[in-house]
This record gives sequence, C-alpha cells and structure tokens, in this order.
Amino acid sequence: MNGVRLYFRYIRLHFLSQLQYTLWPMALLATALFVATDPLDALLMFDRFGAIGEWTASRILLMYGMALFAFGLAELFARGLDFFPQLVRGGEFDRMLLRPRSLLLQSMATRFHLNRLARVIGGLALLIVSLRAQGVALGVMDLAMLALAILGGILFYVGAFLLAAGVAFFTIASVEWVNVLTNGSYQALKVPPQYLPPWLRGAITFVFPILAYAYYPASAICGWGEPYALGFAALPAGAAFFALCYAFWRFGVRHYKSTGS
Amino acid sequence: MAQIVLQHVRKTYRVSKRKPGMLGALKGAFTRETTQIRAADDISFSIEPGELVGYIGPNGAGKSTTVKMMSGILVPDAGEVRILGRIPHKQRKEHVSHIGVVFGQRSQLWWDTPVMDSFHLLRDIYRVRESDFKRRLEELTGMLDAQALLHVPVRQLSLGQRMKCELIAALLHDPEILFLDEPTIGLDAVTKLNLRAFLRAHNQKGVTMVLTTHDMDDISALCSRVMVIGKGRLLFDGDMGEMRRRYAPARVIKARFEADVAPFALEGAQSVEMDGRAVKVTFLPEQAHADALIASLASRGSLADLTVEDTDVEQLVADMYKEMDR
Repeated sequence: MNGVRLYFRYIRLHFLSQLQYTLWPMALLATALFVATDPLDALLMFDRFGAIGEWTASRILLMYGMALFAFGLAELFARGLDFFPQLVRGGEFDRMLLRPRSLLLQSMATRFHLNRLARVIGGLALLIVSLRAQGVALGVMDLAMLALAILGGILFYVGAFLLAAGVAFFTIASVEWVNVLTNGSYQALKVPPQYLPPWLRGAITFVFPILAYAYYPASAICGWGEPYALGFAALPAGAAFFALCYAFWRFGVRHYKSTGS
Repeated sequence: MAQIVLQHVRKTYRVSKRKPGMLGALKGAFTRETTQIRAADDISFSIEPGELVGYIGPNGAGKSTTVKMMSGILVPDAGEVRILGRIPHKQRKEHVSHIGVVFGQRSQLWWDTPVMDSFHLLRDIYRVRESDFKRRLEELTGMLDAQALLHVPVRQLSLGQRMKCELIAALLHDPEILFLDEPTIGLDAVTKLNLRAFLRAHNQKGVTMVLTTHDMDDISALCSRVMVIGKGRLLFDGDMGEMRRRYAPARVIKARFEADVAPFALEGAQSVEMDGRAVKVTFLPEQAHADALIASLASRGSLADLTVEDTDVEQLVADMYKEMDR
C-alpha cells in the first residue's frame, strides 16, 4: 500500500475514533465561530473608514481567505506536526521509528481533528465571496494560478509546522513563537502590504514567503498592478521554504536518535 | 549465525541539572550544568536464533537504552550493533520490518476504536498480505484465546486483555525477533501464566526473544539465558544455574521436627538456625551433600516436614543489585 493510501487509512481511524464522542459537532461549531469572528476587525475598520487608498475590504478578505484556506488545509492534514512536542515526550515518536514507514507521513497522520474543517470551509467561502466582490472574470490561467498559490501556501504552513516540530527535538520548551508564522501570518495579511514597513514586507516576501502565496497571486488575478508572472512564485517559494524546514526537521531526527529524549 | 550482535557498544547521556525553584529555572535558561550518565559502557554479547534471553538490571541500569539501540531508536556513540546482519539506525525501515517490540507501559493500539481496526492499520503499515494477515490473526488469537476481544474498543479492555492484543499487534508482521519490555507488569497471576505459555510456545516456533523484566518468575519460567546489566556494564551472561552457582551458591534445607530437640550443629553446614521445632540449614553443595545432612537431621528426631531449596531468585538479584551500588 502506498503512502497516500496509508495516510487516509490513518485518517479514517481518527474519524471513527472521533465519532465515538457525541460532542464532536460542538467542537466544529466552536472552531466555526472562532473562524467567523476573526476577520471582524478588518471588516469593521473598512466599514468605518471606507477604503484605504485603493484598498477595499474585499481585497483584504481575498488575501486573508486564501491564507486561511491554505492554513486550514495544512492544519487539517498535518495536525500531528502541531502536536510534535507531545509526540516526542510521550514516546509516540519512538513507536514511529519502529515502523517501516516514512516518519513525515506518520507524524502528519498521527493526529486529525475534524473541527479544523471549519477553517477550510471559512477560508474557501471568504475566497469565493471576495473574488466575486472584486468582479473579475477568471481565466483558466487565473484558476491554475489560484490553485498553485493555495498549494504553495499549504507547503509554507506545513513547513512552519515542521520547523516548530524540529525545534522540539532540541528543547522541551514550548515553541509558541512559531504561531507568528502560522496564525500570525494571515493576521499580517489584514494590512495592505504597501503600508507595511519595508523590512517586514521584505521578510514576508523572501524569508517567510507569505506575500508570495497570497498578495502576488491575488494581485495578478485581480489586476492590482504587480507583474502577472509574480503570481506564479507561490509554489516555488512555498516549496523552497518547505524543503529548508524539512531539512531542519531531519537534522532534528538525527539529533534525537543520538541523544534520546 | 548470530542474529543479534553487539560489539563494544557505548552510549552516554547528558542530563542537565537544574536547581529547583524559580531562581534555578531562570538560571537554567542561560547556563546548563550537565552530568554524563553511562547507559551502556562497553557492552558486547551475541544472541543466536531461537534464544529466549532475559535481560535484567535495576531501574536506570541501561536496559532500555540497550533495547532502544537494538531496535534502532537510538544510535550508539561507539561500537557496533548488528541485528540480522543490518545496522538498525542505518537501515531503519528494512530493520524494523523484521522485529517486533512490545512496551508493557505503552500501547500501540488505538484507544477509541475496536482492536480489529488497529490490527488492520498495522497490516497496512507493514504491508502484510491479506491471506497472511488472516492466517496469522487466527493463529495468534487462537493461542491467546482473544477472538472475543477483537471487536471491543481498546479503552474498554482490562490490562491483561490489552496486553494480549499488544502481543498480537507486535507479531502480525511475523517478526524474527521480538523485544519485550516488561510485558507482564501489573498483570494478575493467571494472565501472567497465560502470557508466559504463549511466549514459550511462540519462541519454540523459532522467534528469538529478548525480555526485560523485573519479575524474576518471568525469567525462571522462560529464559534459558540471563544477562544482568548494572550501571551500563554487563555483569553476567549465562544460564540460571551458572548465575546461581556464582552469586548464590548456598542451598537451604528446611525441616520441622515432631517433638522439641536440643540445639545442635551439623558438620559441613554453613549455619543451622532453630526456631522452636523448625530448623533451617544452609550449606554449599561442594562442601556437603544434602543426603548426608538430611540423614544426620533425621537422627536427631523424627521429621514432620522437609524441603531442599535454592536461594530465592528474587533475593539473589536483590543481592546482586546491592553489590552494584557499592
């Protein structure tokens, strides 16, 4: 059985486990509420002040929606990485080492929380609604770019999880700072990139390529003035970030095997 | 050819010391004092196919570290570990396909779903063919009388039932070597006997087993060979008889007279302790013969009861552990 099929066997078991507990719809509802209220600050601000320059609420929400959608998918499918310190401390990672399968696959599959679906659905809804509000006709190229942007975003977020997970091999201190990259990143998208200080804009373009998978593709599709081709940078940028984080995580695995927990 | 070979294996841990309390925690964030713990200090041994080896030692002696190195979780600092001709940490996936590991204190089953779901997932993880899976599952559940457990969620199983399922889970992919880390911990007497019978039967089918335990009855009942580790060093490697001869050679005759007798000494015996009509004679087999001692006991009065015993294994091991601490 190949890795992908095995991964979904894991997910199926998680799903069956969670159905054992009758309260799971409540968890979904709670996350949904959280997701729904999150963009309220941006909405209220735009409602009060109208547009900021060329920036309207739908522009902000489009980028926010793209990031949320990508983050939601990454979180849904790589939730285990988010729990990595626990897996290492609790000995679950030892068990993974004893199984003849990819460590990354096992780590990703080891947790699955259905309520995280709320973020995926919320992100997708925002994406569709704000795209319509922008009133652009999407060509095949645009749709492809959008899909690649989401894919790049997923790679970025899974990379961020891996980075945090890798740190767990070295210290038992919690790695809350990684939330700056994950939850914090799409919060940064609530501010029009032009108004960000240059160093921050540089950082989220080149180091943590948040703009690459949200701003540039959105700009290309809706014609906000950035070069169209930049919209295709999302996938390579996300993949590069992921590759670096994966290498760091592998380094962490080697460290763990030589020192133990 | 030996299946498990360890040659001059060393493993040292760094453990950071931290002073208790707020100030200690603050200081610990910046500077770290570490102490080195030798969990394996020049350990060498080899195990042949089909052996059932007991691996014992006090807590913190380095048992788990050795098992972790043999199973590929940890990489030795120096020396070589070879299992079935492979180096565990270099050929992880190949290596772990051929071994099974049971941790008595940790479960590899899914808590909330019926046991069978976990078994199906393991079948997929180890790429076991459906026909092989069915055959093995039938065989293993039959041996352990566990058919009725397959459709019960794991969280509803008793510890003993769960341990049966853990064993099945570890053996579904037909490993050639099974590592067992305290498999009988916390189990009731009947379940222990069942598990031991199962392990013995499975061992006779050719599965090599390494058993770490604190239960000396496990060792007496199962293992032809015992290895004792203390402070990272292998202190003994041999059979139970040899261990006894070396560390607790004395044997004990316990007898009870039917009537009171006057205190006496016995030639050849190390000691004679009397407590009313009961008498306990300790002797070394090379210094005295049991039959001569019994005859001379019987000449002092008629005997109501008589047994000849080895030193209690539990006591023997406790003495060995104490020896290590000196």
